[in-house]
Amino acid sequence: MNLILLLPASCLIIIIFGFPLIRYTWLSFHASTVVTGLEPIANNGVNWIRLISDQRFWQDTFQTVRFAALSVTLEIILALIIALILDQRWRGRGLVRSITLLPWALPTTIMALGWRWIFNSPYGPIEQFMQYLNLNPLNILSNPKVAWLATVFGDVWKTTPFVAIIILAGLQTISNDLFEAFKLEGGKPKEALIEITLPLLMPYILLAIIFRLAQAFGVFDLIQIMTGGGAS
Amino acid sequence: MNKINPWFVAICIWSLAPLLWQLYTSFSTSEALTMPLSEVEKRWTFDNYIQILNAEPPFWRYLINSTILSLSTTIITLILSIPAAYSITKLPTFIANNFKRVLLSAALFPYVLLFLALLEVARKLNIGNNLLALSIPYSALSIPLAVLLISSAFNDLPDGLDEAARLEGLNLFQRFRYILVPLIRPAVASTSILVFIFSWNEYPIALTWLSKENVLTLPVAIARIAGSSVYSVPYGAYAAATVLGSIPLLIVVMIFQKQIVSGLTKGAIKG
Repeated sequence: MNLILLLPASCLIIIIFGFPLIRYTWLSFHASTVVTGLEPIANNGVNWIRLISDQRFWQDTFQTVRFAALSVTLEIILALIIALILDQRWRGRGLVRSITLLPWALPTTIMALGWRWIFNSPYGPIEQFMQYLNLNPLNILSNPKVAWLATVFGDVWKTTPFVAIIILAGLQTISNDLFEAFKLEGGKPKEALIEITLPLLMPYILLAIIFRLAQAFGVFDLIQIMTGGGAS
Repeated sequence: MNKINPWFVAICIWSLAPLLWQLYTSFSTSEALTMPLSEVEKRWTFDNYIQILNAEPPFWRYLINSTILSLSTTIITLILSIPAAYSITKLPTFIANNFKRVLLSAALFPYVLLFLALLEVARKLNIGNNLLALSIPYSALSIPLAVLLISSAFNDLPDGLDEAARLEGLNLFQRFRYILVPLIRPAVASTSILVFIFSWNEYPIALTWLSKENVLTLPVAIARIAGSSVYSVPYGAYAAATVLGSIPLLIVVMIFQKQIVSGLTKGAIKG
């Protein structure tokens, strides 16, 4: 009886996740071109060999790893700071929390275009500021060497709230008694951050890293729209 | 206590500045945007809004499409996830834990990899431009997290409760309707909001499934504005679209901040 309740959800998951994966695996060992009359025929792993020996594939992989590593690192640092601030008891904390969440909640496409406009050359605010200072234009998005940094920035802006919320939850599990005891023992507040807060937050930070890495490797809309698929 | 915390202000600026720039852009004439530092005759305008609201189809069409899609996805997800989550709590611990592990990896899976094969299915079944059909893969992508969140809420209920209700003669549906679901309402609420936001924002699958102008969702429609020309993006009109498209989410975040936070936290920690 109980298993019947589980069945519809499981079936749907198996179909939507399972079919594409099986299909890809099957296709990856077949060729389907004009030569074969558009009929898929087995080609004994030639696709895989071609992929592994393709320079572009390794370059793309390198760029994805680089993007994920840098953006997740920055997100953790920034989120830690934001969480420490949000953990303080001040007036208007609820409102600030809502505002912090906004970047995470808005569609990536919307903000990807927003960033494209902000980084726009020559009309975006950044280039205008450079002009105002009589400096050379940066041409951030049209220069492949730095365009990926702009996408990292967009990703950090969007997903830091998510990481901050997880770290904040971790902060709120730490008992105040620990800090009291540390103070009685003669510890300074700054040391308490390193001696108590960070070690106790570690599981939460690791959790956030795992979640974020999984998402960062699948990032698509942000980069497609910000750079037109060019940089990564 | 009445002083404003400068750090709070810094966070607000960080989060809001790009949005405020969009707001400024949306009310600016194109002359004002191309020559921001010089005097222009006319700086402020409503034209960008008038333009997207009078376009064919008008902009609110996309808002309605996204709302329909997000609501139907949320409803399907809940209908399938609540019974599934309940049944997981009745499984032996060992099996339930492994099941949850599978769900967690599905929830973490970069779903963007799936969209090509899903598109093949949509073409075969000829359901490409159907919003309600699109909510089926959306639900499948949302169910893993939804089941994890809801089953952890079921687990937190007192042990004998379900059994006692059963002995009182309530059947399964009645127990869901009158006892179990009302008690886990907070978890259901935060799950719904997370699913709603996911479906509202989803892009790769919507981009490939939807091609007719009048069924596009908001993210796809906005990306189309940008893609309409390689060399120049109509930023004024686009910014107006951004502002209008952000308002529903702004309201959702302001009202449901607590549920979102608890959903994200529980989803990450209990999962």
